[in-house]
Amino acid sequence: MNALVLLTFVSLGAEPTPPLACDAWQSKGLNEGPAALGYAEADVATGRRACPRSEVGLGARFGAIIDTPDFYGSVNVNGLLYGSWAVRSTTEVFATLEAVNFNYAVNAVLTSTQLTLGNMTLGATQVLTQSETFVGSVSARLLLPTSFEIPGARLIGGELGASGSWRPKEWLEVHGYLGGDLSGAIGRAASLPRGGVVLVAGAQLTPFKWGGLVLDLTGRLGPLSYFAPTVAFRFAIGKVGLELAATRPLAGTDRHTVIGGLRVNYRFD
Amino acid sequence: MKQFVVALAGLAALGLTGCQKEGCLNGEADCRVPPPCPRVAFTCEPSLSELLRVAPIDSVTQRPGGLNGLGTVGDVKLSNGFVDVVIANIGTQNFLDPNGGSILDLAPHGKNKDTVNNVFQVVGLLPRDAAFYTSLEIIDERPARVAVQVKGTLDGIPSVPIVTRYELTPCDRGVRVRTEILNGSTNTQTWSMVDGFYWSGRESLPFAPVEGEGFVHASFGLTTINGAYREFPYFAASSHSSDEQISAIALASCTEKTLEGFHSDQISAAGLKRQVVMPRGSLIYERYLAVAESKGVEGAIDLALEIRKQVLGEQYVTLTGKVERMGGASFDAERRASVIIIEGTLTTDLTKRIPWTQLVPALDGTFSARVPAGKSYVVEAHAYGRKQVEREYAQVSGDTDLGSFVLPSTGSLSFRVEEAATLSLIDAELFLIPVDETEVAKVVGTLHGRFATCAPWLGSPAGASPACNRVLVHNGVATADVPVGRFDIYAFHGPYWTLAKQTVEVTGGPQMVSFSLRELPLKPAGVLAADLHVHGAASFDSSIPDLDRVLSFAASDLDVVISTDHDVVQDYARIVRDLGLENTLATVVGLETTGHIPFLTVPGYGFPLVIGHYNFWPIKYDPSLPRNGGPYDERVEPGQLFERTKNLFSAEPFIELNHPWADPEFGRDLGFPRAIFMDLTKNLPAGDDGSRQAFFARTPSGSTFANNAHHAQEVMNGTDNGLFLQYRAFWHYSLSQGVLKTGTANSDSHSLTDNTVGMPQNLVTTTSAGGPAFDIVAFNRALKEGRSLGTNGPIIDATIGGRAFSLLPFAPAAGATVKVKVSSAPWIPVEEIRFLVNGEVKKVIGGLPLPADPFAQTGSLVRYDGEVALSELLAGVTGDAWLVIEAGKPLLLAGDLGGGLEGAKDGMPDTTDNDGNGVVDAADVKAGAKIGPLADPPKPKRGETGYDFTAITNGYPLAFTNPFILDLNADGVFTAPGAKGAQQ
Repeated sequence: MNALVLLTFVSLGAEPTPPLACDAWQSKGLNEGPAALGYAEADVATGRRACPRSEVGLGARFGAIIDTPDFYGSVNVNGLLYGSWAVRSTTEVFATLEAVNFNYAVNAVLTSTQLTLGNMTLGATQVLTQSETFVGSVSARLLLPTSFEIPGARLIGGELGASGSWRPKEWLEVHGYLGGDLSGAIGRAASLPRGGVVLVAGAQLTPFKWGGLVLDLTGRLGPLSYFAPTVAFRFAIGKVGLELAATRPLAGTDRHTVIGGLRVNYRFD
Repeated sequence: MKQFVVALAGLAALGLTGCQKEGCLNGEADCRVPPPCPRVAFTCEPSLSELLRVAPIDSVTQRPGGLNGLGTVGDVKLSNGFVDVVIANIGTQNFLDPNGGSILDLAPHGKNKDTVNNVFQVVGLLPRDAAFYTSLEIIDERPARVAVQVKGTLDGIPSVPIVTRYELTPCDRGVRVRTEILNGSTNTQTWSMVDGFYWSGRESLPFAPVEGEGFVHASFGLTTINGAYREFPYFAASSHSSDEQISAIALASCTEKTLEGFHSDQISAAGLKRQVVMPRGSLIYERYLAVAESKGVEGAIDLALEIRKQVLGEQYVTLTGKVERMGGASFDAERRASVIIIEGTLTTDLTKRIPWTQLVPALDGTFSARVPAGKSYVVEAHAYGRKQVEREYAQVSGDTDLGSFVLPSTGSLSFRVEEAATLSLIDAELFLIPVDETEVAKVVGTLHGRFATCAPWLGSPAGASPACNRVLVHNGVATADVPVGRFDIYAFHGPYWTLAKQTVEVTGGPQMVSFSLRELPLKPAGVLAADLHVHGAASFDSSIPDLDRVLSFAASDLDVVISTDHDVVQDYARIVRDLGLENTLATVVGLETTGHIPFLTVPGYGFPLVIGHYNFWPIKYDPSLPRNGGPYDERVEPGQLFERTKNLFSAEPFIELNHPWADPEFGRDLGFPRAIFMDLTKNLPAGDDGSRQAFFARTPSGSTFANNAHHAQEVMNGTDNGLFLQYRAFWHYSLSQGVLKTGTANSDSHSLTDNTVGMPQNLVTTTSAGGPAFDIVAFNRALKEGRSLGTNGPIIDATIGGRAFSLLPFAPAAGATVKVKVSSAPWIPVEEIRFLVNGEVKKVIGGLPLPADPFAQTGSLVRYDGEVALSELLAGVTGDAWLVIEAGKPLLLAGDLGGGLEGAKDGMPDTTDNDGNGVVDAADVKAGAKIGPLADPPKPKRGETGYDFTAITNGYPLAFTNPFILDLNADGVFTAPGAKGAQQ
């Protein structure tokens, strides 16, 4: 088959076309784009990668607030199911479900726990422009009212965003994401709609085909605001990708002490 | 993509606007919380509908009567033919309710039986978790219903709105309540949405049907409270004061199968289960708070079971029966008979049995009570604090007659107490004490495991006479039912009278016991005996009826009593007149401010604090004002509190710092110095340097008073002198800092049992006469000058150059001596006299003669009369000095092993020489502890000198003078020796 393709090119006398940015990724399994670790429900307000791909994954997210002077603490642990399907090379639909959602909160010495089905997002990405080194996309996400975690209410919302990925070198991706999100409650009480704008800028260094390092800076404006660095280690074994990430806010109203995440995914395309 | 965005917007719009909103959870300004408990209905005579009312109280006569009636002008009263309930006006802080909107009174309609301090809404333990209501709306929808709706937010969390509706319908036997709360914050919360019931000890006791509990609940502290939460189908409470003034309440959910919460003598919490409430989450809590005119909890529990039947379809049965006493008797009093009905069998482990109800049989012994159907029950009949009969009933599925429960016979004792010379009948207090441990075992009891353990248990320790093992005698006569046994019975009429004792074999049936007492020539002329710290039913932690309270003043032969109820101004004048005591007893209106809401932070300590307790007198009594005219005393430093109070005085103001180093209760400090972790090894800073030490003396913003602008400090508090060494150490520190405050000695009595009024007391040398001519101005001025002796019996007459002790500095003449005369009643042995200079014991005169017969009515009362050279006491003193003289029993050696912030040494004695080796060290510390115990002197055994004093006080003889302030360098000012001079 390869010989046949080569024969075709030779016979036509044409130069081989350089791969576009999305196709030039070093390793099938290696994740790309901003670290998939955020401060909101499911994957809301996380930077979405610019390039479509087809994959399924399992993940875990851990967030903790330890505010001893205020006699307050909380822990949130999610077991995630996520996946995406590249409908075509420029279009992707994706979803994330907090299949298991565990909350623990401490108010002085009073504690309680909660185990529920969590939030789910459903979204799509459309590549708008792509060159050999740059790809620009837009994405939209719906936050579906799947979670039982809010007494008397279900959460609904959505997010629109734009992603960019610049890949000047094989080992370097500079990525960014600008998004706006809005969510509110459906239920017996006031909806309390809340929105925010999030900007993610970062880079992935991939010195090896089997692994790389992501450094992101995230700023969010809204009722919950934060400026936070995120670091993620990404590994690939064939079509299997693994991401280990952590973040904590340095400024803003968000009170998280630390958030960590682990994701393992298998790529189909 | 376009379709996607459109879908997103559409879904959002639908979601955010299209759902049915409930009550006030959507935040509309004119919202109404729906009527609570729609499935609950009671029926009654149609004519009773006319009695349905809701209106602001415009006259204090509309206040529900009873031990805890507190509603006043501006509060809102709802009533029907069965219930009166008062909702505190907005802006009125009471107890743990920060701003009004809570239930302040709840009682059977038209009865003087309000036993509720305060019912308020919280979602947690911190001040920020309490509902802070800011608006109140009266809803008058008669004839269907009347209601009060209060709206606000959590205290300190404005993003969390909370709304509560209290409602009555014409036939309600309680108040319907619905609370709605929305987590409008961005924080995930753990909320325990509950009603808090503030009992505060010595008041109503909560009862919950929980395995192994009932009246007895898991003990907990602030840090272990999470583990004390239980689930229960309902809970109830009843008061245990006088038989005429008690009622019961019960709480049942209108939506949930169980309530969750915790219970103690101090506080109960009952409501929704603790749960995680995410941002935008909301809770709705609907419940019915039933009220019944019953002496046990059963009247209210019967209603709770009816509510559960209507809400959950749960069936109940009615059990009836009768108690009888051998030899015959009437009942209708909890001490005479109390029946508890407990799920289980006689073979069921006690920790697995579930008490469902408790009742007090009627006068003829008959009783009835509802319990859930289909269970096996053990029925226990109690009397005089002890279980007398128990019987088992298997699988009770229908209404059942339990038959008769025959209780053992008791003695019916009549007492007579007369003055020996004139044979006039006098007021007195009697103490019954079993003659030995075998007799103790026969009669020891409790009120279903609560309050104090007493032998014999003659009645609730918190309530009217007879209480615990004590009986008040009025005009020389009293009666009491007493279990069979052999008792020493003491008759007491204050420390300056003889003490009488009769040993009585109570065999059953009527007996007469007589006593003869004689006043001893001990109290000097020109002196008034005063207790400056006394509580009665107006206090949230006392339920002794006013009449018994005032009678106890007379029983101790006091001249002056300051009423110092917690947070509430009280005036005993009417009761004094009713008892005919106005010619011998002066009562002064005052109060004890009591911090409930922690707010103060000090360097190095992460928890918010309250400022402890201060007494103020004389205060204007005005029941038409919140707290009867008492100040709003929360969230201010002492100086700011003094500022708030200065216009409330009716004459010469007096402020007393109470129990400065008492242990905190439920995270609330009782004394300011301990709250701020003062270090007695360090001097007070010259100014406010921001340190904890500086808090004590600084002048807070908005105040013209410093935080240490009080006039006096308690040195003796309580009849057993429990923390004397620490209170004394702080007083000495204060004197050595030049902060000259009068040392006082008070009972801090809350009942007949915890402390005996007037033990200890202050002998104030004043120009004021007692009785009707009492002059509070002269009295207070004498106190401010330190012209008082603190004592529980010994009298110290001390002068230097003819000058008595006081806080006024003077320069003693060269070669001056201290003339000291110590005297006491025969039953109050004085073993030694101590001379303390700048806090250091400089001389002890021991080996004083002990009276041979503690019950002697004649003989010398003088234990010492001599002189000590001042130069001997001042050896080694280089500057000015202060001198205090003490007399009584030798104290144990004490030292400071830690106890300060983070365990640091703070100069405060915390451990006594418990191994008796002459050194206070780690070997003296109780296993597992870092400091302590701080022990009292060993108690004498029966037959030993001082036994009789200890038998009725649980303490030891002690008196102290106020200081002589010695200007030794004669420069006209007292230069304080500083902290080094005050070290113990």
